[in-house]
Amino acid sequence: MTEVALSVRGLSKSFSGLKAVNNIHFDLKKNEIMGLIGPNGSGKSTTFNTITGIIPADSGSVKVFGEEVMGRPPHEISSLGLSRTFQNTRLWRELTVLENLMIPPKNQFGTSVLNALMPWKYKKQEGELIEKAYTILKLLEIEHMAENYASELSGGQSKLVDIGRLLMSDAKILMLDEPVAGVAGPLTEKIFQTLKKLRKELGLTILIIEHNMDFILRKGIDHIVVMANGEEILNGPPDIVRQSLDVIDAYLGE
Amino acid sequence: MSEGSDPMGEDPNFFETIGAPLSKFVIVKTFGAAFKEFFSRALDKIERKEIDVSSPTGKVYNYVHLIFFVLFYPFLLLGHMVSGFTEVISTETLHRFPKGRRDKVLQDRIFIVGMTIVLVLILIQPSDPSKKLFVISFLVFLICYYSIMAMGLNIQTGATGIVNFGVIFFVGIGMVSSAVLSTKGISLFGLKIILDPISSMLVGMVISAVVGYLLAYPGLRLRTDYFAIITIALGEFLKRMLLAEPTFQTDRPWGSSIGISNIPAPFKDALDNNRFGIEYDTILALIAIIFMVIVLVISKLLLRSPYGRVLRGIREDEQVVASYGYDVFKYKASVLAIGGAIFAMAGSMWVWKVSSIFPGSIAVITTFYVWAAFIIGGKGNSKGMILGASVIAITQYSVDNLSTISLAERPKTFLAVLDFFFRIIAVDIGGAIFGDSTWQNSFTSREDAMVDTSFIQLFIVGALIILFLRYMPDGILPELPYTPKSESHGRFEDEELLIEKMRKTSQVYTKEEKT
Ligand SMILES: Nc1ncnc2c1ncn2[C@@H]1O[C@H](COP(=O)(O)OP(=O)(O)OP(=O)(O)O)[C@@H](O)[C@H]1O
Ligand SMILES: [Mg+2]
Repeated sequence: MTEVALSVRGLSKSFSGLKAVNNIHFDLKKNEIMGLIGPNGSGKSTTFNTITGIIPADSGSVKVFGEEVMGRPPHEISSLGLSRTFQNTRLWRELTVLENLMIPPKNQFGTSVLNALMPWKYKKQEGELIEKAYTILKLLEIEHMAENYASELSGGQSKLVDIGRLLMSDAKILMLDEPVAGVAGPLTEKIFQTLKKLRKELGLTILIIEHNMDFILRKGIDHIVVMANGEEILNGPPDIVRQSLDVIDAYLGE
Repeated sequence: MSEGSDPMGEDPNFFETIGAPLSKFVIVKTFGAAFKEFFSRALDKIERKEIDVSSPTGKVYNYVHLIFFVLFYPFLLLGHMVSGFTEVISTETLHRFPKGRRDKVLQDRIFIVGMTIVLVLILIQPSDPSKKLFVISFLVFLICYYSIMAMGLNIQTGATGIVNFGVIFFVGIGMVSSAVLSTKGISLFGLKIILDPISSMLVGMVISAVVGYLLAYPGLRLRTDYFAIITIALGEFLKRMLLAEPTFQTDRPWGSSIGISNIPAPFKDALDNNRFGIEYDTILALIAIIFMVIVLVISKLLLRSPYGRVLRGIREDEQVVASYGYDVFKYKASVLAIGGAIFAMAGSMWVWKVSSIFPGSIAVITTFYVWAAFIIGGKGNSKGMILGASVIAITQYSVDNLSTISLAERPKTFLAVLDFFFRIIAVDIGGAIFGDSTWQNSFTSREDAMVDTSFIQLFIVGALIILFLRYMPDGILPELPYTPKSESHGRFEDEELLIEKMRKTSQVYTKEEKT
């Protein structure tokens, strides 16, 4: 498993002089779970936004499964098999939880105008997707909210639905921006277990942002990139990152 | 709510104890009175031989009554509608339908009751007996006309969130295409092409759809509010263009813009040897109903499908929709095209109705009425559009009717009161504040003054919009949530099943991609 799923080279973005992301390099190998950590305002979310095309990057190169995506619109990048969540959970608020889960699946027959007029064409697929959606909701322990509007959910529940949406999308690369902030402890554990299991069974590649470093170091992640002030300061396996962080802490502590 | 069965476990409040029976009483009384009045009037007129029962119009008039009473009176007696209506307004609703008006069953009932009221209102419009059928046909046509436009707007603004204030622009494209293609025709490669009314309409719809699609290119790159502002200008733009258009002018060199008249309408010729005593208006009303049903079915199919779901996602947060791989721009452009075609259809219908068109037909105020229907009906709900359109059409017609019905039937006192108030509000106070009239010559009685109905219409519709936005912002029938149940509900337990499912769906997709 040495194939690279996501390759980032020299990615930079500044906001009116502020270097939010400065010359970031990393390779996300296929089937790997990578953590992107760093203090508040270190440029993690901006890195996500520039990779996915939500914000145009100033310079650098991003390759998804070997294909250059810099400068392409978000929907084209996503179509290569990459889906993400946003940090400030952006559900479709006046849609039900179930509907929120039913938009992300790719290749739905009924999403073209002509097929939409012929319900029998998409009925079977729709049924399968509903089943899948309920399975995911059950797994995330929010099945009872399926028929509620997304605007009626609590903060933690919203996060869960957001993860559910991501799982529905059939993407090969999942990018999660602080997925478990505000989610209760045991459920956090379960979500991480599920992600790891899915990764193994379905060959997914996962990139997680988390700013609680101790927390993510305990989650059994393959690879960690540490950012600070837009710079990439560390890049390596958790053990080494932890030692280096201790060194940095000690250094800064003096 | 009966005793002890209150699921909320709260003390029953005033409305719960007295609201339901009170509203039931009021409804039954009003319904009863309306029907008694109507029934006796019809009988009266036939007895007094004001209607010649043997004449063709008289026959139709009779049949309409007969059908109405045979079909609808039993329903009323069965109490279905009365109970439905009570549910709408009483607080019992909250317990029986926890989702409130977002419940399908309740919505169906509201719709039936609403349409019945609409029907009653159509039938009790005061009019000359010989013109009864004409009035009914006109109102039905007007309701269908507004419904179709409102449903077009509903797909664009209600579902997708594209704010379009240029309804009349697309309607105008339909009007002009229909008028020109079916009368003067166009020259293509030296061939003079004149089409029949239906084909003209279809061509107009295609033109309007293409214009809508192309409008997406400059328009949708802008922010929502700027796009809305552009669309306001479009209607006026079309009107100005028509004013300068040679096709619309007299042959004389100084010819002013007179438009096109004697525009043919579908099946009009077939009525030449009129044996059934049916006016063309009735036929056109039927055609309008058919068109409306077609648009209703199409818009329901679209909005209920995965396509409609993506549209609603775009309305809520288009960036997230894009980051799940959907080309938001293409979806919005397709919506502008579909809406454009629907608006153009309405435009052609209007041309058939009045059989003439001139630049003044592009009345920007139409957009306002369609928006009112959209807000009152309930954005996001196709059926709601019909209710909203009915409210607008009936208001418009009733107010117009006040000044056009024969003098004998005109409710003089009512008009005088209206006149008095509107004079004071609009002319005296308004004039004194904004105009050049002085306080001295304001507030003088003008008994001769006749009320101008157009601003009463605007006043009522405006008031309705404000009231709805304030007290019922979702409209009469709000958008329905999407709530299909899972078949294996509750049987799956763990992620094994999920993994299996995910593997299955991704297999389905890869298979699909290959073919
Ligand atoms: N759209 C924007 N416009 C201007 N400045 C921005 C924008 N987005 C981010 N920034 C700035 O870029 C810097 C990095 O922000 P970013 O959101 O990437 O941080 P983060 O690492 O995700 O922080 P957190 O852990 O708090 O989420 C911040 O200083 C922020 O103010
Ligand atoms: Mg962030």
